[in-house]
Amino acid sequence: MTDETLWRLTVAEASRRIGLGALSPVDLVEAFLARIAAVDARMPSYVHVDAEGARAAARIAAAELAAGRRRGPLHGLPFAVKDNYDVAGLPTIVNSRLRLGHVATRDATLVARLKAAGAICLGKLSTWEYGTGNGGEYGDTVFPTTRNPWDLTRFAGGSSTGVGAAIAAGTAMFALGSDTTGSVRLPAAACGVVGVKATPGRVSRHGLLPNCWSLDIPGPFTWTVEDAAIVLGAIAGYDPADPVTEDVAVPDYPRHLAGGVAGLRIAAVTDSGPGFPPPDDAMAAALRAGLDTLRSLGATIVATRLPVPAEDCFALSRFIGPPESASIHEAEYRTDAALMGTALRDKMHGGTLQRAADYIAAQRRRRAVAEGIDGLLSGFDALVTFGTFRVAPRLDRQDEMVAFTVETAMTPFNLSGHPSLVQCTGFTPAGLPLSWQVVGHRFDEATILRVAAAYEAATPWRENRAPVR
Amino acid sequence: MSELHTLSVAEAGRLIGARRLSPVALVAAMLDRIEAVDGRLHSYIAVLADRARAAARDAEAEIMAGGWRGPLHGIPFGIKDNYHVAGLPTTGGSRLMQAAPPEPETATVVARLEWAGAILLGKLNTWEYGTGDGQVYHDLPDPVARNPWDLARFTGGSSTGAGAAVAAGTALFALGSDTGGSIRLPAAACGLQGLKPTFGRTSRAACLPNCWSLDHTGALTWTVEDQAIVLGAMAGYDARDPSSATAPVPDYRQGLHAGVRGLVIGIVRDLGDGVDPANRDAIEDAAARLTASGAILREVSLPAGLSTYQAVARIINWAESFSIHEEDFVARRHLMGRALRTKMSAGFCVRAVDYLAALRERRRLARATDALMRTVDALILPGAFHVAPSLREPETVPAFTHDTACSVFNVTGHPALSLCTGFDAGGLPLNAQIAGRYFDEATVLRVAQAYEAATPWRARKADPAPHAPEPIMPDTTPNQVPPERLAEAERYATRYGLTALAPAEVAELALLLDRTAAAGLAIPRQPSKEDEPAHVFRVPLR
Repeated sequence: MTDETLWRLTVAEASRRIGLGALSPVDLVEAFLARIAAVDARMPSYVHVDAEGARAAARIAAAELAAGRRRGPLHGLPFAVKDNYDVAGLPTIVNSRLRLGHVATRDATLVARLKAAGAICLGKLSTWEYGTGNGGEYGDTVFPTTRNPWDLTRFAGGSSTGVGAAIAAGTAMFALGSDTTGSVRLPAAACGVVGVKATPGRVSRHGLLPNCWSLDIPGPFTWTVEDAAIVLGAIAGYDPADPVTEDVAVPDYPRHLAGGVAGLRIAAVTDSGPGFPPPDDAMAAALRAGLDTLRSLGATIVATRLPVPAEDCFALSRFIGPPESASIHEAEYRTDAALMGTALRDKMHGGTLQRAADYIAAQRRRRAVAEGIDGLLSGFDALVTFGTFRVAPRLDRQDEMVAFTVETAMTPFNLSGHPSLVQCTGFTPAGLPLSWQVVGHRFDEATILRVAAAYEAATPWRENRAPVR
Repeated sequence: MSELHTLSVAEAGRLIGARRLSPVALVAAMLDRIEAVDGRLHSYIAVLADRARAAARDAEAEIMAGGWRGPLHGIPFGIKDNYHVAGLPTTGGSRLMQAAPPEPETATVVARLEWAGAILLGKLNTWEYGTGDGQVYHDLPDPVARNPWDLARFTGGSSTGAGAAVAAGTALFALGSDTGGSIRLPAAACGLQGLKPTFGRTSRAACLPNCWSLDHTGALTWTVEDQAIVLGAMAGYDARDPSSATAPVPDYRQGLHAGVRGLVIGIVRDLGDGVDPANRDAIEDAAARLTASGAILREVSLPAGLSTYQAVARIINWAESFSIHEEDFVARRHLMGRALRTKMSAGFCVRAVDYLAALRERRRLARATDALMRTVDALILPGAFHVAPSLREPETVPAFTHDTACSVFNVTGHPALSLCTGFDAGGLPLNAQIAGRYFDEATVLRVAQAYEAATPWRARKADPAPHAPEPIMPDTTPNQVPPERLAEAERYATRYGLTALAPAEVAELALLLDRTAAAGLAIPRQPSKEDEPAHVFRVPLR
């Protein structure tokens, strides 16, 4: 008999119950498979559900746990990954006709780490083709467009489209996405969940289909900040297979969460600079209210500005992402461009034509952005700013979806390499999630999780679940 | 002592340390030598006579007071005019920088040498901005340096003055810089030992960049022992250079004379038919001598064709150099010499995907070459394929620059030394390259030392002739280009902000658009999308 409410459990609570022997991984997996069966056809968040594999893994986990061999806090917990991660034995289609029939023969490092920690892979979540795009949904790739669980007429955010939706709808307990210029944080913002873009070098990219070597970073999606801390702790760390990873000690993230924000100095950027239209009133009001909350919890809030306007940062990213993507997919572009969807093909057209001089100029400017944000952060423990400027747009408003994707304050931190997370800061009267972004010093994910946890504990937003049923 | 300028660094250092030679006398002798020969040699762009004399007096006083700093104390040296010295202008051999203000900072490696007591004599001649297209057009503010072994001949570029100075004794050692051979080529042409250390071994801070990811700093010396002394003083981590490595610096003189018994030396014989027979024979002779001294010779092949390394180096160099000098090129290219302007025009045309393909192939080449290097203790292979070309046969000059195996080690980052392997029948220096494992300059020097000690070549000194023959200008007649391709080139130029091009410039651009496209497409592509470029953004920023 499947417990109809188990999908609502947080990672932390499910872990606690499993540790007590009060919850079986088999029941938990069945609850999620039932939840997927009940609601996913309407979104959908999955492109591939590995029910049998998950059930088999759950039985093994149950046996291990029954034998007293608990591997750690994730043992027996189900997760899913964006379909640009390789999972051995499962297809990695990445929403591209160019990869139909592909089956992975290895696990991405992060998947291998989660499996080794005893977590159970439920399947693959939907993504824009090759994990990239311009915000537009053209309906010309392999899988159907994912819908937002808070309002099925709305966009779930990209490129990790199914990942934010899965967490919000409870079709996965936690999940992994990837972020090049916002692809973790945009869906997290659209779907009202926590999405963490760690410091480059903190989490391995090995086994993910690259989109842009010098900007790509994998990241976890969870319902709560505590869950993000648990998952990040399980996936973070040096990987010899990824030349960018750093051999830096991984803190015990959950242990740092309880520190609160009293005495912390937090910079606040409420004006992302000239260029982009201003954020929605509701988003701006939520940011102000959130800063008041942090202040009331004892943080010192100091208003400041980005060293380079967010729009300029986005413009710079347009000279790094497309040429690297064009290099990555060059062979396919030469022979099979017709099989690509509109969004990817347009990006390849542009990236193929760009000059080396402009790519190098953007990478040089990137160093200045990184040093500028280092300067901004010196003297502060963390920075709070907008993530997206708008709530999730309707799927029939192409221009609004592009604006949602492009007009954000996220790209500066992709360029600079500072860790940042997005979390829910409330809801509009229509019930759409609001959000902000918390940014920290390099390799100091612990502090941004601590700030976010303090905010989350002081606000009621985690009690509100998406109405999909 | 009238022949002081012929002393090696080591000999002069021993005499000074023993207080049998005064730095004041040594500097005076060097300034006399410059006075006597540099009017026709053109090794210097700027001689810092007063500064050097003052430094010599200080050194003398310090040494007499018991404060001898070591083997470089009181040793006069020159630096290519792309190294900055606080308070002095850097011209880079360019008309664009003739009115440059004094620099605020001294290059780390120069500061380290001065801290070790070495005395800066002046700034040495160079190709404009330390680069070019391989040809000499005689259109730079300073006349081209001449080869002391034959003043009709070229010194090799781009560290032209450094090669001339050490060979002619207008400096006891000199700093050059090497992006694709610019230390090793002048060393080869001028009969010197020139070392490009491991990437990251010596700081590049406060040097005029030419290509961030391929530039190396290093010295040209008369002897291998001198290399050991100078490298020991230059090398080491520098927080001011983001590419600087933290690997510890050994005492390079320790073990220098340990010989080659038991060392496995790989010899590369399959670089094509382009190597001059005299150079090839000299490498075989060197290999035989090393074998006779107990080395184990093993014939090996580079993991890729030479042209692949060259193609990768060329694309990276064009693109990065253009980025560095973009503003000069767009606004003031009429002040550039033809060699630099042609290179910039090529960089203007390179696509990002081809640059990225080159960086991706670079990672593969570096790994594959490193796997080879790990199977041997050192490698011997050709460096420059030809002897120094004559400036009276200008078509041979680009061939000297391009027909080399030097850029292999700029691409991979391994240390490589150009070793003088004797002289051809006409008295021109021959050369070979000795390459080693990452950060193992010590073994490279040890092998080179064994060869040098077994051969008489260091006893022969260049004596510049009284007069330098007039050069013959290279043919610069514009190529004929069909009108539709001229129109295409003009559209491309306008699209990227380049206007008011002369007809000859448009014609050149039209050719370069084709040439850079072909060069880019010639870069091998990687089998996996995960095969990433040699350098991607990393934090923490360094």
